[in-house]
Amino acid sequence: MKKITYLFSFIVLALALACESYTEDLNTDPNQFSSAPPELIIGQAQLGWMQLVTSNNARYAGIFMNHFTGEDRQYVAVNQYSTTASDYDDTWDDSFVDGIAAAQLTKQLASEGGNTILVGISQICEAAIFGEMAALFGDIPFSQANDVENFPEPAYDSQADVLAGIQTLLDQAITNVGSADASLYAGNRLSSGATWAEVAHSLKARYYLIAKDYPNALISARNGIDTPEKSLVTQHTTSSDTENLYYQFMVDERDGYLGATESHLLHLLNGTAARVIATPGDADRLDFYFTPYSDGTGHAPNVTDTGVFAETAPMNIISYEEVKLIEAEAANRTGDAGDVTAFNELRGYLASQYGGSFPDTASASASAALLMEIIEEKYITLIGDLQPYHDIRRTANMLNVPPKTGSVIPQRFIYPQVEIDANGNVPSPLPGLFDPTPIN
Amino acid sequence: MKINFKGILTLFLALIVQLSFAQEKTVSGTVSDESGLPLPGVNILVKGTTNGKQTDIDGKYTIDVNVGDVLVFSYVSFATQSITVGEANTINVTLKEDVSVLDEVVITALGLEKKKDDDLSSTSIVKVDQLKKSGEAGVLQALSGKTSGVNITRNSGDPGAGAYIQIRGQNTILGDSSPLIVVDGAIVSNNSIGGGTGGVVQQSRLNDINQEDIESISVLKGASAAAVYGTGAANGVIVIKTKRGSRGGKRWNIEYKNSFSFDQVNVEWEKQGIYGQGNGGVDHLTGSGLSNTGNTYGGRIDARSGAADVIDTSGAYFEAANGTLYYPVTQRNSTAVYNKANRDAVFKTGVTNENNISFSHSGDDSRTFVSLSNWDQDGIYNGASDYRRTSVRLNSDVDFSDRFTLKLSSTYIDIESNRVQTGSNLNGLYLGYLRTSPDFDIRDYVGTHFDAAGIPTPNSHRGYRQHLGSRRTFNATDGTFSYNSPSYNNPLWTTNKQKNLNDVSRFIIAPEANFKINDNLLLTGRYSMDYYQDNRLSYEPAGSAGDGTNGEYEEDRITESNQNINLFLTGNFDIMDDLRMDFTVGTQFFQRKYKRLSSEESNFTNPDEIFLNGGNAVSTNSNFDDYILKTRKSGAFAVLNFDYKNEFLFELTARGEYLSELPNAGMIFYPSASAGWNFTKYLENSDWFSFGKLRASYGEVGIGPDAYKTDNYLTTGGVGSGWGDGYDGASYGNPLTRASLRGNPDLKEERVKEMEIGFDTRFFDNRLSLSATYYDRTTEDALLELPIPNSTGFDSQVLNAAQISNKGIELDLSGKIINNADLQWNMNISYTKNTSLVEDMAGSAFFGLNGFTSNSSGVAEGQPFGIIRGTRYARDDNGDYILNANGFPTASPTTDFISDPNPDWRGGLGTSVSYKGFTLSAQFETSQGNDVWNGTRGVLTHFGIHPDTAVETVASQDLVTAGGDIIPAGTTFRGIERDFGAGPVAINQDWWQGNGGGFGDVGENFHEDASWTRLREVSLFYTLPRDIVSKIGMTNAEIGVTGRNLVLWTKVEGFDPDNNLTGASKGRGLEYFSNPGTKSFLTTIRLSF
Repeated sequence: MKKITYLFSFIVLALALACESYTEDLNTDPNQFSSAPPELIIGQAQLGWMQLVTSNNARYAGIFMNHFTGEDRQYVAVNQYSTTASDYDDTWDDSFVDGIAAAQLTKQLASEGGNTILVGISQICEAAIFGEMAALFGDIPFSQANDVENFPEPAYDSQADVLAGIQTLLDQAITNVGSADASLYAGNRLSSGATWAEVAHSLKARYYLIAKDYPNALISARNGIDTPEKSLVTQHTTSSDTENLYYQFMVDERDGYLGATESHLLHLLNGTAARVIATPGDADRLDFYFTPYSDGTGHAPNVTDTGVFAETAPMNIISYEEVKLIEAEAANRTGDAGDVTAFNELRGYLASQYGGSFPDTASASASAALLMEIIEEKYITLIGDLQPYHDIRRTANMLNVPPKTGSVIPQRFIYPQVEIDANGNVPSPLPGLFDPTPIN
Repeated sequence: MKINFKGILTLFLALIVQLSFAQEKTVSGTVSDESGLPLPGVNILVKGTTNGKQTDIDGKYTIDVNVGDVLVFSYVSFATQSITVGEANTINVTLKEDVSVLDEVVITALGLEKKKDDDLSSTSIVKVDQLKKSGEAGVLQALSGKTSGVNITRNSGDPGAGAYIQIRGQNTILGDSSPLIVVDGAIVSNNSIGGGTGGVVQQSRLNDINQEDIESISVLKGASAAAVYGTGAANGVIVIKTKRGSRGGKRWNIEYKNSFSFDQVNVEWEKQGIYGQGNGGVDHLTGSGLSNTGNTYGGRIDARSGAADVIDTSGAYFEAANGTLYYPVTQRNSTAVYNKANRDAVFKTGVTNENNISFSHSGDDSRTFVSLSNWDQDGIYNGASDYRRTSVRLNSDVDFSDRFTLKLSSTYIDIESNRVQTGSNLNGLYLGYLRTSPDFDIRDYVGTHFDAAGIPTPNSHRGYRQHLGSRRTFNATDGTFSYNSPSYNNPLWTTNKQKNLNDVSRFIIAPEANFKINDNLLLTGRYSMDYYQDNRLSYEPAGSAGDGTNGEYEEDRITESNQNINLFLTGNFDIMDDLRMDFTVGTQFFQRKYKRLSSEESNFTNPDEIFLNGGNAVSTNSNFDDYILKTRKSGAFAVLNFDYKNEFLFELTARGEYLSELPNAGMIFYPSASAGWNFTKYLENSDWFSFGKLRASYGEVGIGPDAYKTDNYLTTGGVGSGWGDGYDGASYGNPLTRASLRGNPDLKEERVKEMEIGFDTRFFDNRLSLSATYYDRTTEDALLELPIPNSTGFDSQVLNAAQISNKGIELDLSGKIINNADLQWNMNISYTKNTSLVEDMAGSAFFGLNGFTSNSSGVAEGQPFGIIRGTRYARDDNGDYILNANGFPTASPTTDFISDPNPDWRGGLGTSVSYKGFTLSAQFETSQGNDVWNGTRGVLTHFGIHPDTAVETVASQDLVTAGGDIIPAGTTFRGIERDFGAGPVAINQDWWQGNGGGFGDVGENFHEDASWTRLREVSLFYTLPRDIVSKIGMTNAEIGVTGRNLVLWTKVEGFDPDNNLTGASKGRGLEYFSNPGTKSFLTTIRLSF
């Protein structure tokens, strides 16, 4: 009996000792923050936006539309228009998890704190990312995106609805930002001499154009960025992971993957393929865009200090050149006489930029010939940018850019493996690389 | 198999027990132990009679017998020996200490001894003498093949490399997969931090323990045996006891061991030596773009003229360290092939020297054991690859009174190691070595580059993609140098110029007090502290490939401590006649602390000197990062054992605990129960049956989540692509962002429930043992970072959502086929079959454990754990390829499950034959049905290095290539013809560099069956006769040679499938330029005084 008393008193003691207090209040992560002001979160939304338009998407689009050539390892397959769903996982992560989530969190916190301008700036970022994703992928989650409590598997809104929805967002943003300069909350990430409202109008023009709403595109373009200094561009330094992303990719990370050997863009500039508008100044532009291999076997995009993708060369998020050419195209298509003026203004700017001859157009206002010149100039001028890729698909490749292989340029980016795996609402059947998006 | 075995045994038994004429006489002699001390009280029995005697105080005996009688000498804790009486009248007997299964003792989870025959679990004991002959550097590696149910996979053959250990199947997706390690009552870390697809080969912390210090290892495989530890014990428990001074016997013992090991690479890749560097059949000459081509699709090397290369001396050049000048080549004429020379420049024979000395003392009321050990290993590469481990141990036992004993177990370990970059990593040794074209000589890897203006780049790195070495320019604006690198490291640059040091200091100290309350009640208190610091340093001089292009320096300081307090009461009493109860009740407090402080500098401001310190970069290129963690656990447990008539055995275990990681889970309770039936007495009269026990158990154990998963957080931002380019948050205003992992306040523990049944039997005078176990374990509520659609704004969410099952059979058979004084032949066989199945993944298609986007090992519903997912060729409903316009297969747009890295079964076969002083032993091991993704083969195909690409074919008709070019009929081309379904096409560079090679979208053709069988070790040892060694004052002397991993039978080429790229991580079956495995030849000397 004595033994049993010992035993049970010991058990009681043991359980009393093993009390909960020993393990309490230790599970708050000392390595992360629990809250932050919205002024600090907008930066991540902007980095997500920058990544979306200047990283791998731009390189893939550049190969698809024959600006560049995939020359080594995985990029050889891309050059043969072979890609798989998992190639696009990064894109969705950058856009939704980095970009949209941060933009909407900024919007919510800024709204709670009464910072209307910041609400507007976050709306611009949000709209631009949704718009670009819709342009690339077609239908995407929009109205149910980034609301995991209510929509663990967000439904896909139609491409047209998304493009309409972002116009509303941008309208709200224009009201919210007032006359704030685009340097506000841009940190050392983005740079522009415009106001945020001008940036928003420019984006409206871009996505009206993508939606083929030319009258509205024209109106918005005319309210948008109107001088080269107002272009919204990325900022870079020579420090690690702050360099121009083409430079990072080609020099630091994936030497030899991305070239321009026998690309159509190269051919247009070096005269192998004729331009619809003769442009002697392209000889200078050629040197800025591309460098030949020393053994003469090919070309690569120019990453030297004087090149388009120099280590610290800014990349366009939305540029004066783009907006001017949107204006020209939209005017041309709607019978507005401003098409010639806008086009020539841009040509004049290129002449001053390259120091060569960029003659004015000889084509008539509203003519199909001028439209070709405008689209071609945009194809050439916006090197490294996603926008010419949208143009090719929107215009059913009216420029007749030769595909890398086969007879068709890829008509879209395909849905990523992460969504296929986890979201039952992903469109079914899955569209293929050569299936046009609904608006096209 | 079993029948044959029995037959052989019967035959030998018959030989031993042969009849002879009855002839009465008196035999006398002395019985002593192996050290020559006489043994009093030894029982001597004439077999089959009641005629018996005992030895006297001097170990002497006299007995009347007949010639042909068998004398059986038996003594507690010594092996019983039978001797047939012959002509001699004197029979002196040396009894060996018992290493047989007879009185085999297992160590329970709490470190308490228990007779194997009373154990109700599948716990197995690893024979330490086998371990010591293995020639392996680490305890983990040495365990492989020694017992069923344990799977060991090496990280690589690099010095100090760790290993992955898995007991039964994988139970957890996110939690720790290592078993709990208990050394002398201390819970110690077996961390292996790192282990991705690149970097260096990591160590496993269990391997810090000096093998020579180990007395015994028990492997607790089942849940019920481990249940006393609750959370953390779901992967089994390995209980290690180290040596201590023994009671009685000699007062002083000194043991010395020396071993030399000579290591070589065991399997190598073959490289083609027919074609040179180039593209499309054209030799690559001066270099295009930033560097020379990576491809080996140039012209035939033997078709060149053999004259000197034509060079251009007008511009840039490279001056090697030995003065050799290299200029751009404008015409390749040399027919030299450097595959052999390059190979010999990379590899050498590694040498290891191990020295161990131990002293043990046995006093009247104290026992002491002290050991000193040094392991000094130089690896198989020319350059810095080594591992030096020094350890000291002090184990001391002091009896303060009859009732109170204090035990101290302590060790200090110091490790210094130079490691080598591996895997998917532009600095990786194999990546640069294997991709190098056969017509490039790697040996002049460092020198000075002079540009066309004569400006030098000192310490220039020359590789096959940069024949003139790396060049730098000075950016006057920001005052830094910019280098261009040779894309991939020259392997000699990797081993000679880059540094990857690590330096581990570790102590484990475990005092224990035992207080005997009365004769059957013992109170034990234990404290243990396991603390280590692992300082890692990585230095990539400017001009290195990858992130180190402009120089990179990293320092990592990792500290981990595990503190454990255990207080428990053990006792027993007789509840009634024939029913005895043993009990243990106790409480445990456990705390783990971990801290990792990492600093990194890139773009050296002064790249011209090896500077292993911070302060060599501008502030924007100097970063530090910190991670801290602290978790606690408190629990109480009770173990009750019931023994009815030594026939029916029951065990009940209960544990309740709280975890700091689960603040809302409340008290977690784990029950377990076991039952056993010892049926030996029903077969007592059988002459072939010795022992039998049936056992069954049910147990529950758990796995806790990582800390800090119950809330959502904001974390520092930044974005990056899978290609490596991105925007560094800290340089762009350090924005904050919501963590992409969604927290879950309702988390609870993962619970492993296991049912186990089995039997332990012995036959023929205990000479044959057979044990078998069947288990069925299920992990419920397995934690999952469930990938959720990115469109929710998160990547994943932690959930108790998955269910994993593992079912399997373990068989262990061992036999003493011959066992007499001069000749012993033992054999043991183990067999393990485990079937894993991920039964539920909460709707998520796949969770990657490790690997690449293209080919990744992960978990998916309805698939075995670790399944490898990749891309297949697109096929129609008939299974035919969907071809493109050129007649080539296309990539399926989505991924599929391709191969299973888990073996169907594993087996081990060990045998040893001892004759007089000689012992020859061998250990075979096999793993069948395990698949691997052979990424290296794919990539070597891509680059035109793989011998499969060095073939020529004459086109039978006009052939289209994958790139759409036409090869006219009758043309000889490098490649082969193949018909994918639309007529013959040309497989050539276009295809190999597209979807027919390792960088294409399709992985399926590089998944292979990696089954293997190997001669894991073979050794021959000789123990000098006692009368000789005693003359020179020794008690024992032994010399031996061991061959480790000498023969491998496998279908995979180029690498040892027992290695895994991603180290001790859960991702299995991946091969991508992993550093190779090794084989060794060792000599060993052991001396005892």
